[in-house]
Amino acid sequence: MIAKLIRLTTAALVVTEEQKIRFATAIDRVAGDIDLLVSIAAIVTEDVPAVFAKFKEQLATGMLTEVTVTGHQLKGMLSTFETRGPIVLLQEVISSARKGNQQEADDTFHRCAAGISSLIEEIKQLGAAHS
Amino acid sequence: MPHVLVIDDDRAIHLLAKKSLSPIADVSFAMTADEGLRLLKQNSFDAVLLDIVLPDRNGLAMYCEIRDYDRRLPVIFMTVDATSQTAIEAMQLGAFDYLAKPLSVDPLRDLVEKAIEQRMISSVPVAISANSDLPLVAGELFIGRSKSMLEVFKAIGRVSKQDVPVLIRGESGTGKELVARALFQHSHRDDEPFLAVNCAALPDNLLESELFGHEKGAFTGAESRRIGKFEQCNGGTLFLDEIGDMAPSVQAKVLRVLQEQKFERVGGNNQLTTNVRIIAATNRPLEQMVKNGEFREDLLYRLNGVTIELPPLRDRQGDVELLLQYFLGQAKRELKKPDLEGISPETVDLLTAYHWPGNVRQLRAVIRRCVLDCTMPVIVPDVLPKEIYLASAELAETDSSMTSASPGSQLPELLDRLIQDKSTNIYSEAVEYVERYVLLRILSETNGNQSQAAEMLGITRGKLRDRIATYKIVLSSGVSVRDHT
Repeated sequence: MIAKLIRLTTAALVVTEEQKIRFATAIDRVAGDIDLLVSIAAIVTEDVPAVFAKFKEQLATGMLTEVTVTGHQLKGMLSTFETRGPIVLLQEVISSARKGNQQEADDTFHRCAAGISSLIEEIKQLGAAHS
Repeated sequence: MPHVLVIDDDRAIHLLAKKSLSPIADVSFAMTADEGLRLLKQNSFDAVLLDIVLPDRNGLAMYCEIRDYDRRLPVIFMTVDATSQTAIEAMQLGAFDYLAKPLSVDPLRDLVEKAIEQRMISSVPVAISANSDLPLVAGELFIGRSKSMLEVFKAIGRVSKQDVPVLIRGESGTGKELVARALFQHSHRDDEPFLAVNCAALPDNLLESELFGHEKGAFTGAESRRIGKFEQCNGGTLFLDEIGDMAPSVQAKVLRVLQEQKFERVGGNNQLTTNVRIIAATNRPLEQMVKNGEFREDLLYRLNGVTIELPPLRDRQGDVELLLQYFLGQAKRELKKPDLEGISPETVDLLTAYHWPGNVRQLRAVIRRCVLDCTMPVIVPDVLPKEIYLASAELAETDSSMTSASPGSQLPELLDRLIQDKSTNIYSEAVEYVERYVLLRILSETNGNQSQAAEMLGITRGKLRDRIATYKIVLSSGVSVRDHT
């Protein structure tokens, strides 16, 4: 009973040291407000799966104009947490789609898809940090 | 509190913007362009943050619609791609600035604060009054019935609608920015952007980039192309405050814009054109700076075509009571002191007689402090800052005491008093005190011989003449020196 009371009243963040290191740059961007970053992660976790699914479908069906719009949205959501690696490649996918180059867009996406999925999973774990 | 509209389909951006901006503004949100336009028309906003890609409209098209609705509303673009051609096009159309995602809290807040300030500068009307019955205006009031101020108002009326550069001259705190805003608001360009740049506030290389933009890689840290104020302000008005502090290299580029309406971005080769009206302001002696090689004569010539001189407050003592009335009323309302009735005649006399080195800005600050500190319905001399007493005491001194060593030795006491009184003008007061003493001392030493005095002081005769005039030092032939302030 006492333990439950403490849990209800403290609502502590349980961000691990590993997560703090992993998202150190993102924490700097929010001026050290880890609570804010966790809240943003929770929102992104809710919204990004649908956006990512839409992006993949539009790319697969050759809707390149739509890919640039959805890609912009996807990159915006993820770049709060990471700006290198898969995000750089995601921008290349968007640029290829803007040029109308389906093959180039597909090839680049295959190189970054796993990295994006992995990043989304990391953001989900961060967003779950509110206990 | 200012009101900011964020138009972005990312809820995470809404949260970040809300947290960043809540200390400085109320924030409203829209997920689509249509929703954003609807909110815009139903409410009054001071700045807009706009995503460059929205689900229902291209950001540039949205920006054009916002601009058609309210040209003076600053719009800041947000984009995931800082090199986006769309972002650059938007800047060329007059967007206030753009931010690359991911957003950072501090730069976002700083930029929105600047946008809100810009909104105020370009939108709050500057009314002019020479009457005792001061109108209650929502904006700012430019006050004066002295002959010199009436000349300023007439000059504003004469030149505001002409598309010529204007140089506004005057000491710090005399209202140069107010003149610039009045010129803009009464011009044919009042529907176009008005941007202000303080040339003393930025290091030389950053000033050049701020004004002319830069290309990617132009210097360390130039990670993407940036549009400068001359490009942003095309068709509008650019106010260059403290132009006397502009580096020679930047002066050359500004001159070219004035002569040919052409320029290049820093690090760029493309020649760009712009149609900007320049209003410049300075408190520095530009003619002397030209002689010293610190300011370009050809630029001064171009700027000096139309000059509006703002008199120091000490030269328009007839306006002090009018200003006191206005600032007192303003402070009463803003600081919520409805029981305050006014200022006693003795206090008015002291305030009128004071020489106001910080001019109108200082007067306003003193009145606001008095209103805050005053516990009685009438502001009496006891509430005034000590520097005003000190100045009154100095006025009452005899000629011989003014040339003795004792005035100079009172500097520590003066500083103590200024600190105790929480003065916000310590530097100006102290420098004036020391400078006056040094001049009097050396001129006494040389029996009023200005050439010798200038040589001893290590300054030009011109500068010495300028300082003698400023401090109203009267040189009696061959014998004594009186400080006639």
